[in-house]
Amino acid sequence: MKSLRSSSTGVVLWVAVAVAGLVGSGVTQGSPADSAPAPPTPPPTIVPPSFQSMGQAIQSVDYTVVQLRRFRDAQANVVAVRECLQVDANGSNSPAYALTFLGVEGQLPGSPAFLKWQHAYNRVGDLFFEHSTFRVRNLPKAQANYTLHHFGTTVRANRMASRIVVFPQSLDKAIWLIEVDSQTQVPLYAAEFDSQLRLLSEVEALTFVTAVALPPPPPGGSGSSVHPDYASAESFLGHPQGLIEPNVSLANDYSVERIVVRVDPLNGLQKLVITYTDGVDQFMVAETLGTDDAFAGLARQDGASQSTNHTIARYRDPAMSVLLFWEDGVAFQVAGRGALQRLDDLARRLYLQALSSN
Amino acid sequence: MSREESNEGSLPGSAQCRAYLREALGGLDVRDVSQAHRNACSFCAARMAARDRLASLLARPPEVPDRFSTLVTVEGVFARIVEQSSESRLGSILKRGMPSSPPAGEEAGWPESLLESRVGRLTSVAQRANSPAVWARVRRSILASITTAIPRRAHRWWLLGLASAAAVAIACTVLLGDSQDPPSIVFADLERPPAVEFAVLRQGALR
Repeated sequence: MKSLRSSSTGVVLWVAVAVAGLVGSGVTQGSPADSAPAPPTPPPTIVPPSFQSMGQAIQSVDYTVVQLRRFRDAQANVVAVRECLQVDANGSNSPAYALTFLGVEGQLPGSPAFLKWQHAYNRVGDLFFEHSTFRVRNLPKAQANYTLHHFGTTVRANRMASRIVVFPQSLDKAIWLIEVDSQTQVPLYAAEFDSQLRLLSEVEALTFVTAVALPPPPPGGSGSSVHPDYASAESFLGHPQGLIEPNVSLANDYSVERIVVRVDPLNGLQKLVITYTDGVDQFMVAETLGTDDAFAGLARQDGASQSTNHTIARYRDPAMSVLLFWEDGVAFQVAGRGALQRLDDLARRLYLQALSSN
Repeated sequence: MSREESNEGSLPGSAQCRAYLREALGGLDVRDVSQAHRNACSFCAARMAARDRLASLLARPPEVPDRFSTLVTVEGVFARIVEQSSESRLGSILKRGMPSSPPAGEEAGWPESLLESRVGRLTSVAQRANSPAVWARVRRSILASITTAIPRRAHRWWLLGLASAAAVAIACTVLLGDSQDPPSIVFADLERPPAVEFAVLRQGALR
């Protein structure tokens, strides 16, 4: 235990030094605001961020931020997309918000790349805010599963910010380097690393103001509904055959964060999405109704009969793990970050659960 | 005379045979006449040949296996016999009918003179002769145990038969009813990210 703690501390220090070096060398492509002079006197009072202060900021701070979101694929190709995020706090962990695509860095408006990314934001832009950056999603869980390590102050988006490393208790989760606005406790910069210190995702604020003017919601709503529990969602879907309530006892440090029924923008099918969180990290179990068996044409192995041999399709890279299987008209999807290899066992157990319940 | 001896010698078990065998088997010196009888009498010659064979065999007694010759084994056999006998109904009756007397002599753990003293005579228990009534009870208990063992043994066979039939029935039910193999789940690794929302979340627009 002592050696584990000392090694973890060593990794934290290594992360801090490495990431500070990355930031200083311009790998993160900092905005011109980085080199801007510090704000004039009087110097603001710096409040050391904590999980509690960051969790309260989600519930109480309205703001508008223009930020760069950098995507990395499996081949480490980077695309930086500029977006505008408007957040209207409502006292809950699910504030009202609007995410607007502004452009792709280095691409002219109207170019094929610009249009492709604009289309992607129109379809799944909401998910970038919901799942794709650092946020304290469950305060007790975050305090239990992560530790904060402070590494001084900096200037980000023309504001004083505290630089922090959020280190997980379990090394199969991401390590976060964040810079939190000293006044509002809203993260202005978030970089996600795995245990090998590979940079997996990055969001960097360019401008930040504590005001918001949300555009009117689109007509017809977003096409999704949030449910307090599984029974409610199942009833909403009409008790369809093949749907199961996942038993995720394998991941005891995670708990249910949200249960949403929505229409998959990629295929138009109704799906139940249950999101689990350990306070910061997330994984999802999605069940899409009314699908055909995508594995029906696969050759069976070991000469086993078709009814006894079952396949889980798995994709894994440092940034994500996706496991897919099908049973009784329902396509199951288990997805999380790449290092979370526990998801393999979870998918296998869910498959057995689906087989036993049908 | 010699003719008579010759005739008698041809009869097995004649007086001459008995005389010769008495001398030969008794370890006495065999006279010439008797030696001649042996040569003429096949009966006595066979007996003497048998004696020689047996003598050679008896000269080499078979070796007792080690595990039977150890004191522990023999004592264990004795102890088991005593335990089984003492725990049976017969043993309890005998225990009541024949109370044990304290050991005498050196095994008693005290000097012989003490037993012969006045105190010894006062403390010693006189052996009582078992009454015929006790032996009658023993006989009745033996007969009763035999008569009760027969139906108990039959009952045991019935139970064994019923258990065997039940085991066969259960095995048939399991083998015929559960003919499906347990599900086997295999993982098939994909080379490219699937077109799912989470892949878009992590990598943006699919490239």
